[in-house]
Parts: sequence; C-alpha cells; structure tokens
Amino acid sequence: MPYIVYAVVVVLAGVIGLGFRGENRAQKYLPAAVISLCSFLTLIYLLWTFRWIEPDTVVRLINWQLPFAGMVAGIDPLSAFFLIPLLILAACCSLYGPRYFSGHPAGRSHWFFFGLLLSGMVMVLLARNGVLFILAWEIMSLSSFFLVITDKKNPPAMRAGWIYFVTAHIGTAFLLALFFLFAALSGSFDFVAWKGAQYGGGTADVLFIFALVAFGLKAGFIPFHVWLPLAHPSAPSHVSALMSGIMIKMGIYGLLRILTFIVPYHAWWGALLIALGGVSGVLGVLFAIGQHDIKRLLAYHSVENIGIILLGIGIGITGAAYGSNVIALFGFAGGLLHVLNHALFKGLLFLGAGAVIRQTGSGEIDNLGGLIKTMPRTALFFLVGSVAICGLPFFNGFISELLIYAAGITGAVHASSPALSIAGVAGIVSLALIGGLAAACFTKVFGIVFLGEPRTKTIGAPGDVPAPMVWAMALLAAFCIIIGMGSPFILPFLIRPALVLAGPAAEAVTDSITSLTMTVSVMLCSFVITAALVAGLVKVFLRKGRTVTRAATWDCGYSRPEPSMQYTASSFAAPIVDHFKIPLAAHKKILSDGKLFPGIAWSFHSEAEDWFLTRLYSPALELFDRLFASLRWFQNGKAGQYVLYIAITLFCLIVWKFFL
Amino acid sequence: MNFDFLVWLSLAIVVCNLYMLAASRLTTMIRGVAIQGFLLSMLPLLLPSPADPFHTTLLVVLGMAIKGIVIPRYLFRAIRDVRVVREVDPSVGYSLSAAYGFITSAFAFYILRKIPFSSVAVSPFHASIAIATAFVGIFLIVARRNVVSQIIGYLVFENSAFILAISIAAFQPLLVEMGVLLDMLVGVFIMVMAVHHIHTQHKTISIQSLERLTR
Repeated sequence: MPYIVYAVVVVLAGVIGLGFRGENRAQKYLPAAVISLCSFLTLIYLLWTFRWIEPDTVVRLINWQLPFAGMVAGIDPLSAFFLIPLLILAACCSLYGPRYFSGHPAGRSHWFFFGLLLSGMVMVLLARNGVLFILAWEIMSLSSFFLVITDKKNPPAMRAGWIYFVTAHIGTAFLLALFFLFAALSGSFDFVAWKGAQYGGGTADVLFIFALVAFGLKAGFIPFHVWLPLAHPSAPSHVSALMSGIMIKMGIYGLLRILTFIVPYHAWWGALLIALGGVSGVLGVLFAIGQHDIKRLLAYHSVENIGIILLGIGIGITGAAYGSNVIALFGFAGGLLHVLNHALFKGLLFLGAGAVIRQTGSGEIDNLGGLIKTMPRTALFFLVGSVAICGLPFFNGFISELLIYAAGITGAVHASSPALSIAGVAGIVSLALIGGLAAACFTKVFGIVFLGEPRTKTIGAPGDVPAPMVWAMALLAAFCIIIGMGSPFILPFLIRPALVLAGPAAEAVTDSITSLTMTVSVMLCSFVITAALVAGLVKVFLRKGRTVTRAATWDCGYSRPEPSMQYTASSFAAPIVDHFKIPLAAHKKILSDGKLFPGIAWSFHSEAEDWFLTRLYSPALELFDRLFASLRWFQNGKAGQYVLYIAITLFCLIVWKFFL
Repeated sequence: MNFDFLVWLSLAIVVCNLYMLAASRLTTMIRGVAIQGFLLSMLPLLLPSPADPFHTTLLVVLGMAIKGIVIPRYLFRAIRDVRVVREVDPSVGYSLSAAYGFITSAFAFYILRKIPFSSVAVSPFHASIAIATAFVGIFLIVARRNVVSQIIGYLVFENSAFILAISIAAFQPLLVEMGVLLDMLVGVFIMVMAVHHIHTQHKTISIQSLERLTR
C-alpha cells in the first residue's frame, strides 16, 4: 500500500535529518523537502484512486509474533477522507517550516518528530487492529508532545507540554479500557471482529461513552479542551497548523470509527453530541473573543470548529436513529466536510499567524497593526482564511455549514418526531450564534493586526515572508476557494465516507446533496461573474473624464491622529465580552484617575479566563494530589522497597497456592 | 555419582548464603557469591542428566569461569576504582539477617513437602535449595543500601534460578544456557558501568541518592 510506504519514508526523512548539523542549505532543507514532495505525490495518488477505494480492503503487513497485534492495515472511504487534509497540511507545513525557523533554528530532532507525527497519524487512519491502533496513537501523541516543547528554554511552553502530555495519556487510558472492552466482547483485537459482533443496548452505551471521553480528550471539545489553548500557541506555527488542522481530527476519526462498530445508533448519543457541540462552539468562540494572543485565539477557534463538526455528526446520528436518511446523510456529510475545511482554513490561519510572528516577533494582537501595508500577501491569505472560518459565502466554511444547516432545517421542519425537531432547531440556533460571533472575532483579529497603524514603535517595516511560506499559504487559500465555489467537485470524495456512517440505505438520497451543492455553486459563480462585470462597468463609467487623486481619510476635524487612538483588541471586544460576562468570567482592568481632564494615561484591558482550567481542573487535580500524597510512602523511589513488594507478592502467592 | 559429595556441595551453597548475609564488607560478599557460583556450576556434573557429556562439560567450565572468576574480578575492580567505603551499609542488622537466612532456609525445606515438586523434579532437594537461595537474593536487594551489594543480590537470585532450572528441567538446549550466562555477564558489565556513573554523579554509591529522578 503506498500510504504505508509514505509513512515509512517521512520517518526516514526525519531520521536523515537527525544526522545533519544544518551546516548548509541542503542539510537544512532536505528533510522537509522530502516530506513535502512525498506528501504532494501521495496526495495526488490518493485523489486519483479515491473512487476505487473499497470499504473492506485489508492487508496484513507483517506477520509478526506479538500477541494480539496482527499488523493489519486497511483503507476504506472514511480513512481515505481523513488522509486528504492530512496530506495537504503535511505538504504545506513542511514547505513552510524550514523558512519559519531561519532566524533561530530548531533542533535536529524537529523534522524527525514531525515525520514521526505524520507517520503516526497515517497509521492511526490505516490501523485495522486495536493494538496497532493504540501503538500508532501513542506515537502520534508522544511525537506531538516533543514538537510542542520545541522551545525547551521557555517555561510556559514546557508547562503546556506537560499538561498536554497528561491529558493525552488520560485519553489513552480510556482508549485502552475501551479497546479491552471491545476485545472482551468480540474475542479479538481485529476491527473486522469488532464490526461483526453484536452489542446489547446498554453495552453500546458504555462503549460510546468511553469512546467519547477517550477521543474527546484528543479532539478537544469542551470540557476536554484545556490542553488545546496552551499547547497550540507554544508549538512552532507550522506544527500548530498540523496539530490544530488534523491531529485533533484524529479524535473525531476515532469516534466515527467506533460508531461504525456499534450500529444501530441510539438517539441520545446524537442529542449528547449536539449539546456538546453547541456548548463547545459557543463557548469556544466566546473565549476566543476574549484572547489577545493571536495563536491562543486561533486555538480557541479550533474548539469552536470541533463543536461545529460535533453538531453535524450529532444531527447525523439523530437522523439515522430516527430513520431519516436525508438528515443522516446531510449531517454526516456536513460534519465530515467541516473536518476537511477546518483543516484548510485553520492551517492557513496558523501559517498566517506564524508569518506575522516571524516578521514582527510578537503574537500579541495589541502590539500589531497596519501589517497589510508591509505584508500584503500574508494579509490577503489571512483574510481568505478569516472569511472562510466565519462560514461566509464563496469560501469553503460556508459549504459545510450549509450542509449542517440543511440537515437541521430538514429535521426541524419535515421530521416525524418532536425529538428530531428539537435536535434540528438546537443545531441551527447554535450554528447561527457561532457564525455571528466568529465573524465578530475575526473582524477584531484582522482589523487590529492588519489595518490601521502599528501600535508599538518596535515594529518597523518587516516586509513580507519568503516565497516558500507564501506558496504554502497560497495553496491552502486556493483549496478554500475551490471548495467554496466548486462544491460539486468535492462530492465524489465526500458522499462515500458519509455513507459509511449514514448506512447504505442513505444512498437513495444522494441526489438531494448533489442538487443542493450544484445550485449553490451555480449561484455563487454567476454572482461573482455578474458582480465583477458590474463593478468593472461602474469603474469605467465613474472614471470617465476624471482624474484619480489620493488624500488622507477624513479625521473628524482632529488634526493630530495617533496610533494610540485606534481600537485595541480589548476595546473592540468589550461590548461582546460584557454581554457574555457570566459564561466568560472576564477580568476587566480600567486604569483611570476619574478626572474630567485626565492627569494620567487611561487604559482599559479585559481578558477572558478559561475557568474550566482554573476553577474546574486545577481544584480537582489539587484535591487528587492531596488525597494521593498520603500514599507517597508506598511509591517512594527506593528500588529495594519495590523489590520487597515483588517478594511479598510472590510469598503471598506461594502461601495462597499451597497452604490455603 | 558420589551422593555424599553432592549433599555436601549443596549444603555448602546454603552456607554461602548465610556467609553473605552475615558479611559486613563488600569484599566478603563478593567472595561469597564467587564461591557460590563456582560450587553450583559443578551441579550439572553430579545430577543425573540426559545431556551429552560435551554439553555438560562445556557448561560447567564456562559457568565456573564466568560466575567464579570473571564477574567477581570485575566487581572487585569496580569497588577498587570508585574507592568506596567497604561497608555494605545494611538496613537490617547482620545477626538478624543471618536469622532470616536460617528461617527462610528452614521454610524452603518445609514447603518442599507441600509443593508437588517430587512428581516433576529431577532432584526436589535442590529445588528447595533454590528457593532458599532466592529468598536470600531478594533479601540482599531489599535490605542493603549499597549499589554493589544490590548487584550481588541480583547475582544470588540468578544463581537460585540456575539451581531451580537444573533441578527441575535438568536439560535445556545448550543455546539457552549459553544465552543466560552471556546475559548475566553483560548485565553485570552494564550495572558496573552504572555504578561508575552513580559514583561520579553523587560521590557515593548508596542507593539513597537515587530516590529522586532529578538532582
């Protein structure tokens, strides 16, 4: 299988990188170049062969002797669909990465762990055996941990890394429990057996809950998101793009894969996912509005978008549980397409943020400003990403959200059961709220960072980033527009994975999704053409017989405008933060002397605290710490004492076996 | 072969156990484990064995060389190089340790009747010697704070596994036994290297300095 070859080659590229000191250009760029090229080629092969991928192609790679772990790999439309964003991001991020580091080079091990992460994710997608899956999952978690702590001299990055490490392993603990349950119920670790086995209603519920926690900790929806806003800003930007774009989607993939085993779905699973999705979406975007670090803000938007994906999947499950093929297909297709879309625009936004940080040395939104003049290309692509993430027309976010809306509306209007209507309405309402707030948030980011004037003196005229970084962003932006405008093109890659989840019966209604996307695509394209024509004509008409002059913007008659008169991130977000102050737990700091003619410089600052971390997780963990501190004498680091435990155990076993 | 000689040899192995338990100096302990290794390497010659004489002779000669000479010499050199205090630094006193040795040996011979070794073993008598030796090995690891004495505890434990193996199975493929010997040798090499590192790092080879992962 070429994907296995790919997985091996990217690791080897990293291994080669380990031997290089980075003394010349070739040594510096070779590992990343190999990874990038391989990803492109594999992507083209994948897109070309996608339509021939059959549901049950399983190959035994190596006949190794490890108990329970046949190295069984396979590919079906669902895995293949997740491979698309993985390969696109792998190609773009490894194109972008080497130049991102040109100032302060990363360690030799960077591209090794990068390749290992890619290969781990590919193996997660291809694994068809529980033990192999867990091995791949651990490789993925550990290599991404090492990527998060790339900057080892930075204490916050190390702390973020450890929090990520701990959460990832709590997830793995649940994953082990889940897989052992499956193995106990089906008598095998092979996915084929898991799919074939029958699970009772209560058993399926337990399996679903375990899967939700195990994979939720990776996917990072609320309340399992705490590691995400810490880890993403600490990693180098192209790693953030990869982690936020596709690694957290491995959680979604795992959940979906488990869902295919425990059919038929129960309706309350869908309801739970819609509730979690709504909460993650709304709270995610609200927390994002309260942030002032650009990458942390983007990380909270990942929480939001995972919420949107969950909304789609939740509506799909509810639809399937109530036997409505249209709702199921639209819900699953919308959720899946949003996986791809989020990978594209979030990857693009993280790369854009990385470009800003590289050129200005700061990720604090309030320090920046006016970058559209010095970094026009980065600004353009960041704008594309911003519009796409808000789900506005002409860009890809719109299409996936439209599919989820369509599922919700169908549920709300045509459904036979009230539960389905409630699910549909809940989905629509949260999605609408999320969309509006996301638009506000990205107005803030783009407005403060790229428009206006620089807010601090230190940021001079940085200029734009080198060509490979621009190309990486351009490629992702192009994908965003292609999917946004030509949505029918994406259907061959989308319908079959969605059918894996919605069940083969839904094949009868695939025409409805085709006609919807076709209509939307034709409308959007004709609008663009008409608008371009009209704008061109108006321009020609207005310019006739006039000259073009440039003048300053009208400044309300104030003669000496200054950068400090601009909106800050805090002041722009203040109305929204005020409105949602209860769920946000925002801190406001106003510095003023209260006089009519201020004697000092007044300032206003607001920041949203992630109370899940400070008020939920930290107290709980401290409680655990206190509880288990009394057991510290038992695990005290003395090797001799541990041997004594073994001896006592052996002695007890002998007594138990022969004397009782 | 000569049955009486076999009994005396086996009892000498047990006496070596007690000798190590009561030893207050590292050099004494190393000497104890050397003698024990040398003696028990002879066991395959005396026990009834279906293996061919070449196999047995090779095993006996190699065992004596490695357990009786190479490893002890290496340990002697290690403690000379790091110039350690010669005390074994016990956390349980010497007479109490010796008492432990007597009691566990008695217990080992007592459980011989309970454990149905007699049906499978070539020599049940040696199975209980093995168990007595295992108790001593574990005790040395647990109750001595010096790193070298822990290595010796590990060697005693390995000796007990050897006695148990030949008393129950009597005959194993040559390859397996060679492998075990080689593993032991390499294991001791690595452990002695660790002793050197511990000494350079902490200026002592007491394991109390190893309780924390960070310095």
